[in-house]
Formats: sequence, structure tokens, C-alpha cells
Amino acid sequence: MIAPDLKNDAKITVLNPMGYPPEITRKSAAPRPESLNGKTVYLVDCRFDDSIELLKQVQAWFAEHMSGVSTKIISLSAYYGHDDPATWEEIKKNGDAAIVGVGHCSTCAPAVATHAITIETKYGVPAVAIHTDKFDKVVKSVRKMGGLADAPTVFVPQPVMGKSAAELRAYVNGTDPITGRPVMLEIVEALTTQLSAA
Amino acid sequence: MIEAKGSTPRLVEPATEDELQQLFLDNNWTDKLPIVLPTEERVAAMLAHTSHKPQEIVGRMQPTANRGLWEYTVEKVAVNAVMSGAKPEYFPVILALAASEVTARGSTSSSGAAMVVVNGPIRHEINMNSGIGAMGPYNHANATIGRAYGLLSQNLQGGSVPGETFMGSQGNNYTYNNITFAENEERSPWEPLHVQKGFKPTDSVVNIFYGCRSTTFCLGLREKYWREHVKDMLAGVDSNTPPCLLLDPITAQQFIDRGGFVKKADLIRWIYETATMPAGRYWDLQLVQNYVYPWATFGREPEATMLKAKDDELINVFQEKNINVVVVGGEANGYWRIMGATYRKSVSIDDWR
Repeated sequence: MIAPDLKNDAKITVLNPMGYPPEITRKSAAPRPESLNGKTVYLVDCRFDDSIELLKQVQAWFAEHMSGVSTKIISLSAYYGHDDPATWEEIKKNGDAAIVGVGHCSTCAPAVATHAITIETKYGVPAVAIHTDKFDKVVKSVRKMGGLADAPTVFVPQPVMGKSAAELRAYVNGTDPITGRPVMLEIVEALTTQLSAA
Repeated sequence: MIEAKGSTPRLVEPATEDELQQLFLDNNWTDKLPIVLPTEERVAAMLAHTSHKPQEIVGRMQPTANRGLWEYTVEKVAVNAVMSGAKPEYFPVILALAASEVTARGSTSSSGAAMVVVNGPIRHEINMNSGIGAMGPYNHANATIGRAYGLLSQNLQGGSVPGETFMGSQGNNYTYNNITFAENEERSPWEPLHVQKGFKPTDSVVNIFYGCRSTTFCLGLREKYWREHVKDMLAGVDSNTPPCLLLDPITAQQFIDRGGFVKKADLIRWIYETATMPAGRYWDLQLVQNYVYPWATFGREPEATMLKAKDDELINVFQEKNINVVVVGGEANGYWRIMGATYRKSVSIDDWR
């Protein structure tokens, strides 16, 4: 702060240093099935750190608790930052819903959120993204910029990298650290509850 | 000329200097150090040093991919340039940095920083330092141009706020001024960096690198084991970010004396051939798993061929085209370092005069 004897109380006008935000094009979510029973759910591995290990536990949860759901793990064909139309086409052709994960870094969380919105809005397949809780504000901003502010998102604790199968199973069987609700309940609801924008 | 549509207010509500300093601090518009308040008069003085119109769009920027590209004009760049304390005659350099559309406030959890190398006549016109202390806080142009690059990046891309638009887990002190310096072209035995990137020696250019997380350093090159010592240094650079050799002129000459690298390209070739690692160990690195392996399985070359190597087979860690050499320093001694830094872009400063 300026010392009192040097203080200048005259008001001055200065310029705002911020740039201009992009225009947002609002998108519509895909319609949801009433139930996942008899459906095929794709688990999309973004290939950052140990994402696939967490998705294996999600797959195990379905096998144990919702055996009528068929699941298939698929890894992105290249680096997570690139769009992957071939994978989205396969999901559209052979699947009924998609779970994309795990967003757990500053660049892969935006990518995972964007991929889920793409699957949802461009390919018409209900999707939910899994992220770690550190990235909740990042993901919220990306969903808004991506035109689907209420795109379904579920959080697990950070970190995922290096955790054992038992620890990741506990994440999946546990609660979302942001909402306090069961992770798998949120995932199933996200894929079977119509979004307001749909 | 394309003009911005403008959804951000041009002016801030009038207030005292004290209140405005606090407002800029509270709004996360600064690097947490005091700034020069961007009054109409100061911004106009900055704008007088370019032929470009205030409302011309300079570029678009975002903290990472998929965050949404924010747009900015010449005037918006000038506002941030004033805030940094830069003199108006530096403005074309700052505009060139803004025009690169490479953010110096990337939101990578790895906490990267930019590095800016300035080449050409502009170095002398604005008295930039390429000699003793060039990479330290001892020159007004180096200091404020680098600071301006950081401020304009965070404000023109829509913010750099921890937990929201910045997720660097540890942060990076280099981001205060983004290692901004002039290359010591006069004492370099090789062609300057911008000529290597396709510009004429008489062009003034900013060259932008990004990464700057890993640094190894050494004194000179000893006759007996210099090759092994350099190989050890290269092992200390993270395998996903190629080496940029920052050589004091004394060491640049030593590379010629010891290795016969009369051409810079010969030195780069030798660095490429020297930086090797058993394939099994290379592919097991987490950064390589995240950022290189997916491209290898996708079929992109040379990664796909590298993936065919047996675990104990030596493979080249870096691609030759990604290795760079810059001469900087004042010959106080033959100290030199290797910065893990990816070359991103070179932009003409003359285009922004």
C-alpha cells in the first residue's frame, strides 16, 4: 500500500486488460434409455497415466452388480488431445452409452470432457465423463465452453496414477468427493436420466 | 483488418491509484507484483510504436486445448504491455509474442514455462542483453518484455487462476519473465537461431520455446570425457521435452575445438546420436507412456519404428529436428546448460512495427 503521506486520492480511469471470450454455441444432449439392462456400454480409456486401471474396476462393478449390462473397454487410438472419429463411430455403431475417463491432468481433463460432449452431441450416444476431484472447476468451465454446461460428470479422488486395484476399486465403490453421492449410482443415473437440454 | 466484437468492457470504473492496484490484484490480473496502471495516456504512448490499428485482432489464446479461444486486439496487448513496465519502443516485440498465439501461462499440471530468444537488429535498438546476466534481472528490456508476455497471456486467454485456469501442481518460477533474452549473435560461431528457422540475418524475430522444467548444467568440456559428460547431462533432461543447449560463447567454441562441430547442424546431429536409452527403459517412462506411446501404437513415425526395438536395444530419445542450440552469455566463464524446452514458433517483429 502507498504510504499515507504519498497517497493520491484523485480518481483515474484505466483500461481493462482482459481479452474477449469466445461465443458459445449451445448443444443438445442425446436421449437416454430407461435402463442399461441389455445395453452395451463402452468404457473409453483416454490413455493418460493409469486411466484404464480405474475403468477396469468400473467394468468389474458392472459385472458384479448389473450383469445384464455388456461392457467393453476401448482405448483412444492416439494421444488423448486429438479427436478420434473412428472410435466414436465404433461406439455409435455397436454401443448404447459411453463412459469416458479419466480426466486427471490439466490437459487430459479438458480433453475427456470434450470427447464426452462430442460423443453425446455429434454421435447421439449418451455419455458420462469421469474425472478426479482436483479438476472440478476446470471441467465445469470446459463444459460451459463446449456448449453443454450440464454434461454428465462424475468425480473420483485424486490421484489415480500408481494406485492398486484394491484402491481403485474403493474409489469406484465409494462416493463422489464433490457431491458425496455413490460414484456408480451417479454413473448409471447419468446414462439413464434425460438431461434438461435434451 | 478484422476487428474484435468486444464483450469485455474497455474501461475499469474510475478509482484512486491505490484502489486500482488492489482491484487488479483481487481480479487476478497481475503476477502479484505491483503493476503500472494502464491509463489512456500510457496505452496511447504504447500504441504509437506500431503501425497497426488499436482494434485490429492480433490472435487467439487459451490455457490449454479445449478451454475456448479468447480473442485480443492491439489495444488489449498494449494495456498488458503498459502494466509490465515496458517502454513503448519494446511494443513490436511484445505484439510479436502475442501474435504467436503461444501462451506463456499454459495450464499444464507439469508446470511448464516459456523461453523467449530474440534475434536480429531489434536487440540493439532496444538495448537487450545477450551477455553477462542475460537470463537474469539485469536489463530493462529483457525483464519487462518477458513480464509483458506473461501478463498478456494470462489476461488475454481469460485468466490463469490456480484451480481454475491454471493447474500446474508445483508452479514454475521461470514464468515471472519467461526466460526472455537476446541471443549473442556477435560472439556465436554459428548462424543465429532465427536464420536456422528460415529468417534473414537482418530480420528481427522472437523465437518461443515451452517446457523449461528440467535443466542440467556444466563447466566447459574436458578433453578426456567430454562426450560422456554431455551424455550424462542429456540423461537429466526429461525424455518428452527435447534439449535446447544454452551455450556461453566460450563453450560454443569448445564444442568446435573438441568435437569439430564447425556447423551447428553437426553438433545437433551429435547430440541426437548421443542421447540414447535402452528401449525398455524408455517406453516405461510415464511421460513417454502418456505422450509418445499412443502415437507409436497409432502408427506415426518414427515412434512406430522405435516401438519395434527390443528392450535392451538403444534408441534415440529425441528427434534430431527438435534439438536446438542458442548462444548466450558474456564469457565470464564457460558455464553452460541444457534446458528441456520444445521449440514452438518464430514470429517476425518487423511485421508488428
